[in-house]
Amino acid sequence: MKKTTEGLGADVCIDAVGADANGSVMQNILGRGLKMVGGATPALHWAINSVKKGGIVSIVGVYGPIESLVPIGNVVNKGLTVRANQASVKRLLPRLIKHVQNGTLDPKALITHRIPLEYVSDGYRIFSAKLDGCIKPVLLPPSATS
Amino acid sequence: MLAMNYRGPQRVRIDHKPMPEIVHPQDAIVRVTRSCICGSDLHLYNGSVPDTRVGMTFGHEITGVVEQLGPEVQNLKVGDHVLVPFNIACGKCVFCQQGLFGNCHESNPQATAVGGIFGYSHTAGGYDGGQAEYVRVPYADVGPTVIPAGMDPDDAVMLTDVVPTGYQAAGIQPGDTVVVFGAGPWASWRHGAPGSSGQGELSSLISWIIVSNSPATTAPAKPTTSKRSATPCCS
Ligand SMILES: [Zn+2]
Ligand SMILES: [Zn+2]
Repeated sequence: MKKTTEGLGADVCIDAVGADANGSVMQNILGRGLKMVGGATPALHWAINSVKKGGIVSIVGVYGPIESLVPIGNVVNKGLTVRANQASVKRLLPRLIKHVQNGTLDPKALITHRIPLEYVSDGYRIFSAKLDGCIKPVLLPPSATS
Repeated sequence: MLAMNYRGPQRVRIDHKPMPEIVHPQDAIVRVTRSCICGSDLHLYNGSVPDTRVGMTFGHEITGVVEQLGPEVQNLKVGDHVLVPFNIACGKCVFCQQGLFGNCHESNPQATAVGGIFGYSHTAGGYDGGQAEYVRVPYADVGPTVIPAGMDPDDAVMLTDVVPTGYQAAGIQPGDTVVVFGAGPWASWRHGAPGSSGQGELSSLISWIIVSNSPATTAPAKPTTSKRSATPCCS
């Protein structure tokens, strides 16, 4: 990351994980012995600490109301902009529908598993355990005719 | 009807539940045609969302056919195939008026932060979700959008949460280096992701770094042949 950004840090860091980030696994992937403060959320930490000064941290991961030990000092001292909200879907739909219609986006390509509703418990088990390359399961009720 | 039923952490099952009914004049009853399991549903599944009650049906990424309408619904008719945004929004409160449909003040009056969300615990209003054969959709004139002719319902269902959530996150300019921590489904469409300006494809001008333990990082950019069935498929 530093190499790509000439040591300055990224322009935008997105925390797409949220409260259940598994710090140890991600640390292994990064190949570094980063030490996390207990109770902190690794993805948000990394986003704040690896974005460049004046950069944007965007939070889309799911958080409950209380998350502790966010390095807020770095947010202030680096002059960061923090963006966060749940998407307001209806507002974005007209643009996104156009992107799908003109082929810029191909969202259905993300669907990895098509599971009859009756097998919903298998769906959760497989997705939760990340078995079989499960990225996006869609459930199909028996009453669905289209 | 058949519906997913939450029984406690890591315990969900398929069950028979009563059909949903119109309880408010702006409601619709929708027969579900697609319903995704979202990464965020796994937070519910694992018992990490407060006030997730046993007996709840999850599911907030829904497409379906309008079966029944309350007397005040103007914009839909029976038989419309709609995509249903995950936000439940009244369309009239001060937040909805600003386009902040995720922060509706009416659909979840118990809370001060988030608005109502289908199937996302009582902290998000206690609405049953769409991992079922039928779902009650409140404020049916506001959220549900008729799927445009020719659009695959598989694409439409991805517009109920995944795509808009990734899109809203962006705020990205050409030339930016963007680091994504956690590549869920939406991050893996980065190759086709348009910029926040909505003016076409910027992603070739952006350096992306994805940090994740998800299989998404190793998936091809356009996994057109990656559809697999965990169990025999019904359509
Ligand atoms: Zn979702
Ligand atoms: Zn509202």
